[in-house]
Amino acid sequence: MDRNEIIKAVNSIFIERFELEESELTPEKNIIEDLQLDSLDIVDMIVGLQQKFGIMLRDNPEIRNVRTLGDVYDLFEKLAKEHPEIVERLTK
Amino acid sequence: MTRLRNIAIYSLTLLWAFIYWVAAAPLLLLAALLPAEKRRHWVRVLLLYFGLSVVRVIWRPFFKVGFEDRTGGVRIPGIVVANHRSAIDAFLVSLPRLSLAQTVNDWPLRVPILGWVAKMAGYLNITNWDYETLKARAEGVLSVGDMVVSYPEGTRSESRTMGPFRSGIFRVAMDMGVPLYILCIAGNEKMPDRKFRFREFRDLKVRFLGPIPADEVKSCATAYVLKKKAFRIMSGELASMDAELENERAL
Repeated sequence: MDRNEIIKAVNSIFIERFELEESELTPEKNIIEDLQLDSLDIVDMIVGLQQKFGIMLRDNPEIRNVRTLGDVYDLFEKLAKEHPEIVERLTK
Repeated sequence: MTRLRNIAIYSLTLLWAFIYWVAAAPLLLLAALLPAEKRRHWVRVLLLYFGLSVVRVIWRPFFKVGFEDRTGGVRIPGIVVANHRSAIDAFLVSLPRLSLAQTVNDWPLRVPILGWVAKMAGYLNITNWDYETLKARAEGVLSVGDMVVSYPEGTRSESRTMGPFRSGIFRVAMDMGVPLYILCIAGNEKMPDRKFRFREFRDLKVRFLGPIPADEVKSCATAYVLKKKAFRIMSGELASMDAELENERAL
């Protein structure tokens, strides 16, 4: 699974849950400052990502270091390599 | 001159607060006999008339406030969100003549007299309460036909640019499935400033919009979507109101 597919899957959460335009979703965008998600919105984001990728993020320490959309893409690219079931789920 | 007017407006407001709440003390004592939510309702009614009397009578020699109700008379209990440029917003929200419980930070609840009355009125403490407590208390407010008013920017902006909205109160509206009203307040970005000094005395505008119907509130995918919708409506209306005020001041 290449990075573009990960980006597409992550972006779909921001489009469906937050009604953001695809053109707004660029890797350098800070989730809090640029996209204006607050702590409650971030919970919604995590729930959406968990459902999309079929993986629990609550105990993942790296999710706390996420600042930009690019960080989210990087995290899921790494997780997809570690968890083949993610790839299987997304390619279904 | 501005300094003298500051002294005058604060002296008159404090004097009126003292007279009003001393006169209202017997009613507050009577209200204490009622069940909790009914008691809070009657204290909110007293606060409503206090706010109205301050804005319409005490402050009238200093500035006038034009109010426009664009709700078409709809008064289904719900959540009101207002922009927050200055401290006098807490008084200006009385203009739609609704008995309201405001969401407040911790510090205003410690202000003598008004803080005590606000506590009696069941104002919602967004600093110390968790989400479930906030929602339960908001449900209590709406159960007696009152409304909750909140400032989703979280703090005074002191400018014409609104700060980003926080999602909490929008989540409450969605979870409760109630309408969302929008109250726009324009012209008071320097009245007063963060240090409570009136930098100018100019006429203001307040406009009561909405509501976004309960069905539409409930159908939003997330609180983020609802807050963005409210932000768009509010910022558009405020831009018009600021322009109208500038035109009126230029005449």
